[in-house]
Amino acid sequence: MDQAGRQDKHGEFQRDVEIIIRRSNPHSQEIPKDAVYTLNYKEGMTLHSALDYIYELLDPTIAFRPYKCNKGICMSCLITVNGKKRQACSTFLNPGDHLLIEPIHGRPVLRDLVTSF
Amino acid sequence: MSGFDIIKSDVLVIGGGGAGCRAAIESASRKCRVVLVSKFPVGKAGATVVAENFYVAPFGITDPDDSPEHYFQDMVRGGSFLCEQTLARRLATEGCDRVMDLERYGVRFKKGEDGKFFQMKAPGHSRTRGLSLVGGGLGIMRGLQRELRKYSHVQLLEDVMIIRILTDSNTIAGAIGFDIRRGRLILIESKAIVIATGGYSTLWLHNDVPCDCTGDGIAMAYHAGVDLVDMELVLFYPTVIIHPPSGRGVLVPSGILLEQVDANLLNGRFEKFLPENIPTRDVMNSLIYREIANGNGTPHGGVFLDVSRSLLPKKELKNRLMYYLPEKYKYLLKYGIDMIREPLEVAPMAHYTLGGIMIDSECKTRVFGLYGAGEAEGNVHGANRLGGNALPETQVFGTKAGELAAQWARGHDYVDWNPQEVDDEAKRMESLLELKINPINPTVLKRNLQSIMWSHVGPEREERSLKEAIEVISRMKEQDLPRLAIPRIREFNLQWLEALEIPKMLDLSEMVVKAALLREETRGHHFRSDFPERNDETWLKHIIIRKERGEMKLWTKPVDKISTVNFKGMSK
Repeated sequence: MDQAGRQDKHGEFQRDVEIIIRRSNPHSQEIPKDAVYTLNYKEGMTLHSALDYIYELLDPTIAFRPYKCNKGICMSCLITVNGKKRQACSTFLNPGDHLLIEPIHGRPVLRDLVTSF
Repeated sequence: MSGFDIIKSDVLVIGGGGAGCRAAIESASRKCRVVLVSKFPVGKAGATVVAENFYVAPFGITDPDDSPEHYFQDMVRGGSFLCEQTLARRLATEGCDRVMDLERYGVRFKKGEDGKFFQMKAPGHSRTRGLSLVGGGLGIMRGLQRELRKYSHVQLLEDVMIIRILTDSNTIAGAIGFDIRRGRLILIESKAIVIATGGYSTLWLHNDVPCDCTGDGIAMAYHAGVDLVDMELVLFYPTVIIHPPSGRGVLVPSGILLEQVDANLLNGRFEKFLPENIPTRDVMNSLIYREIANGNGTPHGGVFLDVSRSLLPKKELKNRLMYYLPEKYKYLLKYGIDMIREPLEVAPMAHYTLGGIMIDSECKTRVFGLYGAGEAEGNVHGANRLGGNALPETQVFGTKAGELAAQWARGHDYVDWNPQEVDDEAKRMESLLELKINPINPTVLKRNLQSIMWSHVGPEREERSLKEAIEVISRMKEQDLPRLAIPRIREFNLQWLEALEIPKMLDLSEMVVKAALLREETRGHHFRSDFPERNDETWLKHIIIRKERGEMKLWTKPVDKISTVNFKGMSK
């Protein structure tokens, strides 16, 4: 995994991870929009640690569930990744990934990635 | 001041973990209206969820001569004689009953073919008395949640952080909560309150607890006039993964691995350094530190926890891991970490806080109608907690606190709260949204505090670094707190939540440092490199902290020695 990442369309090696978060706030008049964040890939990076990174260093306004049980069982971090239901804590990232992240479908959205349970 | 909801309850339980849920069940079963408040959704909050599957109860199945008395004595010895013996005795005598309650709630423990509990051994326990929970801490939470749903008079408030306890003439009037979902205040009028908000291990940069364990309840209790006890005592868990990076911060239960799976702790040169009899966690920490200090650490500054060098066949190892630690083993595999194939690099991290709210044997505090339960309460375990004792603590003291809170609520009327206090809190909350000159982000301030606590008040402490820490913390209080600024969003604003946690974390840090400075000895998990010996002449004492006329006051109080425990172990 330490070798160069995937090639992009110009034939260059991509070491970055691109995360697109579908943001919304049902309590405000704003229309939902996609925010794009580019992160440097690090070994062992999960989607949960990437969200932590975005919140701490790139954009403190994003809302997500920061709780982590370190066992992959609590389902607090359940979200939709490229259309599929996933736990952020056990979704591994690879260099060159493009991920569209949405809140889990079928539950009332509180803001951004956070729903009530 | 306008626009907040008022909710009325007989008993308010703060904290949605094992102790809080158990207290809520107990109060509700005594026909009280209960409000249970949890910072995050129940089952996805607090430390019980992350607990391992090890639960101690002296049933005496494997070792028929086991008894609550033996268990009690192990606790007193394991805690270096600093535990409050009335509390340790309650934990020892009521532990088995609470297991039977949990079974009634549908929580499952591993059993042998004879239908009796399967028991395993753990360091520090003189008898084999550890039960194996199916599903770990989450197994307990699921059972408690099922039971809670049976009571229609329990109101659950999730994503709400209590920020202030309201009293009048030293009696509980209610509490103010912050509704994270809407960014508004909630006022809860209540006759009694149970604080079950867990510990404050997140004060340290390297910890293995969830991010919500910030010790809010302990700080609030202090401001309400409650005594706190032994805040300097923090359990640093010896074996938390530091490498590979995908497993960083994941706890590996050393007791079970060393006792049951033929694992070894090895230094950087792959040499064993533990004695034959596996020591308790405080001793294990000091042995690990000695190896690292002597230059025998691993490449990432820890030691190896190694299963791969076992002489047992790989298949047998796998069977044992799947039997004793199924969730942990499978989880690490998912993260690409196979213990059987490679050694793990581990090091101590903050895991459990031994200090907290001072309670008497019935969970009462100095404030009428206020009770403490679970990790939020202090002085049950002394200077070190034996493995497998945290979950029983939540159940035993959760039950007692719920019972006593219900009793108090039934016998007393509501007390008036002071509108001024609510007004102050609303203003303070709103002021965080204002624009500031030279603003500071709450996450940054939190990380700065955690770094200082780790480097200066970590597993190893000395006068100079502690004094430096006090200076830094008071600078943070004076210069950084007023500059806290957050995005102007009301709904689910995590920065707002953090900005409300930080003043409490700073208060707790100050207490930890001052108490650590006062305790000039080494005992259990409190390791003063400038006072490396245990001093039973002067220091069989608790350190009490109380707020008096706005000032933080510290003094000592001798430990109650009420039993005839075999004190031979005292002279080292």
